[in-house]
Amino acid sequence: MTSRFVRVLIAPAVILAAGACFATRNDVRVLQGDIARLQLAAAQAAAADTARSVQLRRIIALLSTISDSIRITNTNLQRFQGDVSISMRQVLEQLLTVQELTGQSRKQVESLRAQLEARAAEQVPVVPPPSPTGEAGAAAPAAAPGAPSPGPYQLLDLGRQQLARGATSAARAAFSDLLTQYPTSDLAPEAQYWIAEAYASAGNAVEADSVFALVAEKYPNSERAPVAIYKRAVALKVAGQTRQARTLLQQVLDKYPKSEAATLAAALLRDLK
Amino acid sequence: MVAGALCLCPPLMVAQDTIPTGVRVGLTYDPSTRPGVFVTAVAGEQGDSVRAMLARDLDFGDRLTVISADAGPPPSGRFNYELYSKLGASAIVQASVTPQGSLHLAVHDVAAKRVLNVADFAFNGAAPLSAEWRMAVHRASDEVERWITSVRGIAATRIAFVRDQRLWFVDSDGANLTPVGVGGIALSPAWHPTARYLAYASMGDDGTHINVRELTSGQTRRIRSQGGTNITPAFSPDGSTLVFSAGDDGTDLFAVAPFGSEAPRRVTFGRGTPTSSPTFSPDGRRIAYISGRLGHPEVYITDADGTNAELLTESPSGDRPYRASPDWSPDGRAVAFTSQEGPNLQVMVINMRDRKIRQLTGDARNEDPSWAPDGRHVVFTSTRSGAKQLWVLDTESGRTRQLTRGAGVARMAAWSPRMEQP
Repeated sequence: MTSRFVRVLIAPAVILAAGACFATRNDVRVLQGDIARLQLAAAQAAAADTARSVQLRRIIALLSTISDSIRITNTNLQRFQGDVSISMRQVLEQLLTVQELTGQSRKQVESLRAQLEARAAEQVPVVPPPSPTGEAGAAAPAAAPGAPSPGPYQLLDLGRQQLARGATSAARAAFSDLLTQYPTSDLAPEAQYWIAEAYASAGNAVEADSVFALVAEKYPNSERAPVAIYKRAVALKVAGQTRQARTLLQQVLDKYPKSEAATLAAALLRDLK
Repeated sequence: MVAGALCLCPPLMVAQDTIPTGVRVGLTYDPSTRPGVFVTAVAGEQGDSVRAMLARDLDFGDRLTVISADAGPPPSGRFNYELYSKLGASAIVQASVTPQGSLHLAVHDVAAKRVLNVADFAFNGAAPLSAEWRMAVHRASDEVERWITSVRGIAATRIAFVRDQRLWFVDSDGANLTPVGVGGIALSPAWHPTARYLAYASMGDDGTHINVRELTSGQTRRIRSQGGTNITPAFSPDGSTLVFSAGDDGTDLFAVAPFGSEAPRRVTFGRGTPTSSPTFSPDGRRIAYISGRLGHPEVYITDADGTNAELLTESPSGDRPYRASPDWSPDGRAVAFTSQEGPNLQVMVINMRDRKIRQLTGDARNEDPSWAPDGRHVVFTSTRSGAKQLWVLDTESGRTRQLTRGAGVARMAAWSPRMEQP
């Protein structure tokens, strides 16, 4: 920048110098004085420019430093956000995994308990036929004389197997046996629920609806209650009874807000509005 | 084995094709064996083609053994059943093209020395050897298989698949390879139960979308998009619902009426994990699908309304296999899927009763299974011949045959329902 400034000042001097051939001695002295002044001005200008340049360089360096700091801060922020997001996602995935594994473990436990019941039943000595007084075999009222009675897990397992085969009547019979023989079992809500499913599988929507209603009514604290209500709502929606469907979906949301059925109910309710 | 017949007829007869009133005729078919069947020569210009197609269809059905003796001239007059019996034939298929333009078929029970069944199959004016004409012959083959084995064949079906990001059709016997005519990139074809519509995912500058194409007219309807990715459609067995995978950060399954205007309804809640590839149970009450919610893709099943979701393909603790492309068999007994087995992908099948998994393939890389309507055959993508091509596997005998050939990668096969008479 300084050299350019000097070039600008010297240029007219050179032109004047070129015309000096035709000038007097006094003119030369004047010119020399002008040049000296110009050189001084150029030097001052150059000095001033250098100072400005230094200032500018400092400002630029400062800006660059600030820019770098901002960039680093931004990167750190993004990384932090990413880390948080990944952590959140990992937590969510772990939660889902735990839920899945819990569900699977529960199924395995149910299956194992059914097997244990089966083995225990095999070891039960043959019960003699009941005496006329009815004393022998009184512990297993619904079982055939001499035959070991299947346990609740066995009956549930049997019913679900029958249902998977499409034998809905046989499935219902197994679930009904469970309810009759073990009415206070933890599996009673399951049995009631699967009776409804068996009806639905057989295409009997009316019976299915009434039994689903029974699940929610008899076992309001069971995991099956919100599912049963949601099932009724879906059936009503399919049948075009939107208002009744909405009422039941809202019921799921109000009574069982943390259930999986509530998530489904909320989505369906949004669609119906 | 074709063991005999219940008949009250003369011991020997000419090639009659009428059954006396009040007489019940039937073959006893043992599924564990493949009875021999002889297809006689067929007179006429397309006679050789008709005979070749009938014989090939019956062979590909894997329930009958087609006797490959020289057919000689078309039969006339009395049948020498003893001779056919010595050749190992339990049944004879006698075909002719009528002056009215239909295919006349008679099937003879060799042991009973009489005609088992007779029918005409209309070509409906289709040009000889055209796609429609061929489909009419395939329908006839399927009926012959039903008469003999009580199980209808699968010759009158087609397979939709993706080659070089375009949709194609091929007949079940590998003939009649034709582009569907969909512009742009298309993926994941899925048949409507009537075989009149095909759903697929399209990719363009405006994103991915689910489309339903009416195959006769070519009219295409775009399903209301969910934004983000929209892939892997599947029709319910009654055709009233279309389920597909959609989402931005992760995907979920959505259900929509394919010909209605309602917004899609969410079926699964994967919470940011990928969920895709739905397939309905034959009763339409359950859906199998892929989800990565355990950190790796596994096959899950859920009720069609979204309740009762559970893991179907449970892996041993510590294993993190890749599992994909489930397809529920038409008889509901099994779900076929792709599974990573060592360095390769293989086609597996899980029995829905006892949840036992069986490996169906072991040669090269095999994936994307799709069941035939008989619930016995599966079409899948395999590298066993080098490039990825479609192959057909008989899940009972293990017999395989190559369906597609030529350049390009063939994948994402979808086996159609039976193509009924138009």
